[in-house]
Amino acid sequence: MATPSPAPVKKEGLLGNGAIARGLIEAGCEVVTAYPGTPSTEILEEVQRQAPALGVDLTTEWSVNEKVALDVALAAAMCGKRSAVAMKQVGLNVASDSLLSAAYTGTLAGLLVVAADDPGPHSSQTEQDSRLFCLFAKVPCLDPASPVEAHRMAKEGIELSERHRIPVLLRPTTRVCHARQPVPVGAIDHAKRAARFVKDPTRWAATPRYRLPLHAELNAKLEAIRAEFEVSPLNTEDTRPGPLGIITGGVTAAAVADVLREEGLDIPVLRIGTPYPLPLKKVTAFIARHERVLVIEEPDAAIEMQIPDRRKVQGRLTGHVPGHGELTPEVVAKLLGAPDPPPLPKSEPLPPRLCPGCGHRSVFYELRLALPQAIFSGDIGCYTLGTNQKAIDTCLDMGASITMATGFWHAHKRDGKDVPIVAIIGDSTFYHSGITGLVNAVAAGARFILVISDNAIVAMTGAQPTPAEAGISIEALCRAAGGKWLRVIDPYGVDQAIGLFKEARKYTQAPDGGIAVVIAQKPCALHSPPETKIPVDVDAGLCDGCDFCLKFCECPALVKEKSTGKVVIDHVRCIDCGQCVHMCPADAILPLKKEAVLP
Amino acid sequence: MNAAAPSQVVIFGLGGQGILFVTKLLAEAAVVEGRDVIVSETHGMSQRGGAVESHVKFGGFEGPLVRRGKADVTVAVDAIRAGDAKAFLRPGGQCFVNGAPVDGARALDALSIAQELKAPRAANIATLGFAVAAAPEFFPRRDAILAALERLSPPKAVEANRRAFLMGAEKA
Repeated sequence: MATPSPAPVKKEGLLGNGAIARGLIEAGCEVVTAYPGTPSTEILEEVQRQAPALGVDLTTEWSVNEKVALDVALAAAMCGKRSAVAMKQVGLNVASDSLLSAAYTGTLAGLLVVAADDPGPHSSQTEQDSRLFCLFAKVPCLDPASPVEAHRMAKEGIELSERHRIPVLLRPTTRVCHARQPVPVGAIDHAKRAARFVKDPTRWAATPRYRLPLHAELNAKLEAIRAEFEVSPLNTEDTRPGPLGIITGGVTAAAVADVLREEGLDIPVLRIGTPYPLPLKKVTAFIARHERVLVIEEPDAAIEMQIPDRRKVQGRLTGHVPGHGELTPEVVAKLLGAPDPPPLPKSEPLPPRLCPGCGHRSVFYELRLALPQAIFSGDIGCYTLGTNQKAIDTCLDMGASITMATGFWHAHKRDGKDVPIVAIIGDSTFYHSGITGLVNAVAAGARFILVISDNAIVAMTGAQPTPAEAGISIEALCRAAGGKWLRVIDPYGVDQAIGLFKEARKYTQAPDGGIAVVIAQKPCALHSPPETKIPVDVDAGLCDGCDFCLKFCECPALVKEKSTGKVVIDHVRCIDCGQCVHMCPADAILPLKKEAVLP
Repeated sequence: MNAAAPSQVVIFGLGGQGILFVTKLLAEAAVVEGRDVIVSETHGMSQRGGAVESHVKFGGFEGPLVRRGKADVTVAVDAIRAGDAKAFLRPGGQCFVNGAPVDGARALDALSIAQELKAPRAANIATLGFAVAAAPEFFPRRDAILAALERLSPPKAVEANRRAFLMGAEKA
């Protein structure tokens, strides 16, 4: 009898983040929240793109920060709605207060926390390992090697969470988030799960007295999950014995597989998709079959650290695997004894730069001219690139521009010194973590200039909306926080802005002065280019090759011509903003039409 | 080598030159053909004019990154990346560059093509057309790429992109 052939699996070309989004939709998630951050941003964007096309109605929220996003998703899951929250790895630091407590309270419906790591780092201030965060927070962790696996783990993570009533963390890395692959998509869970909050104060409002039994319960949940992971198909192994075995996981496992095949090496591999709680029986049995085991994982030693007997084990902790940096195929190949690859050419670094026409560029130019001696306390966003114009001196974490400016002020005041201090923060970062810092600074009586460079969007990550879209005004927030001296400017008005920054400095020195707030409003030039076009050209007769514009304006459309030493305009990149007209001491950059130029 | 054999391609450029679009196109063309493909893209800070590269691996690979010295074909959409592009080639691999001729690579003045089409940002597509026509065995079929191009290009840019691809291909 002929068996019917199975229906062909439908495959869709998806970004890793799109595959995670698809998994969340298929799992029946009804509430998905996020704060944007590379490499995680496209997860919520893809939920918003795919769900309507699949006829799925769910709630999405760009939350004001990661802690808020986790609280919102957790509460929805406590009511019985399957939920998820996405962020980058440093976002998990912001959300950690919630995460550690949520591990104790647990959940009712499935809750998946996606925290995307960034070994390299490519777009982050640290190379932290969210798998280690899982050990610390006592939250189970899934670690996908590819978009296909990320899709599967997103669905299974929701199921696992619901089965054990515990938040589950999915930890993709940049190379999974931003890999693209045909993904076998599946059926969508359309079950309606009613929102029903059942009061249980000993759990949901637990005081320390009730936290103790919840901790015991959490430990029991983790051991039950560890037992499941011992037999989980998310971990795969080659059970042959041999002198050398490899334990690996995540995208590094994919690199190991490719290198072993390319080099013709036959080494048994244990691939860990569930790094916490580590399936210790499986790992111990694997190690017993080999004389030596190499653990290849990134960005830290989360698997290696959990192995109880490490006498035969080599990895990051023993110095056999590099302790920092991405485990690229080149690094993996070197670990496995492959010959060195061709060297990269020695070339000039190509640092990222603010886009042509960017309003931040004008702000930095104006600040540097108005207050050349200032300490420029920076923040996280496109405008960290103000370092190129020497108008950003520090960059710590979200919101630190304002809090650190307060610290700079305290330190100098102790010595009786009055130095100009400028905090520079973007609009989305101000909503995220700037407001509390401003309240604190006003209460402390600090004196500095706060510049909010407002482009009306989360620009760095691709134009996500901010609370301004709901009418929540930065100006009103600053006034409510005690910002008495406040001006709103268009940074394209270069001379006016320079004058205003000098005036702001005077206010910080006045007897009854304090914090001077300047909100510089210019929509992101990448997403809303200026409507008034001011095409410019360089008069080669007037350009004396002083390079002032290259250093102070620093626009990618200004190019030094090697043969003449003079500057020319790259008209492919130029967006005709006309700002450089103000930034040439020799007046050699000239508008083709004079009337439209702002002073 | 037949069209179904595994192959590895790396595209180099600078943020803003449409490198992401080219790789999305190749991935989509492979999906159209029903081939396995895995691509690594550059997002984030580097998109602000920094060095950007996309790795495309057709058939039977697990990891998204091409190892240096293993690429069958590399393409530098900006000549400033030609050195990196050459370092990724396997022995006997082929390198294609937009810009002035350089040793060890075939060069195309894609900017002139783009300017002729009054679509200055189509240099990426012209360079791709050049590489695909010169080394077809390492890419999806041309008709699959053109089908993906029509589907993924913004409506206003479809015609210019199609012509840029074909004009680049003619120069091969």
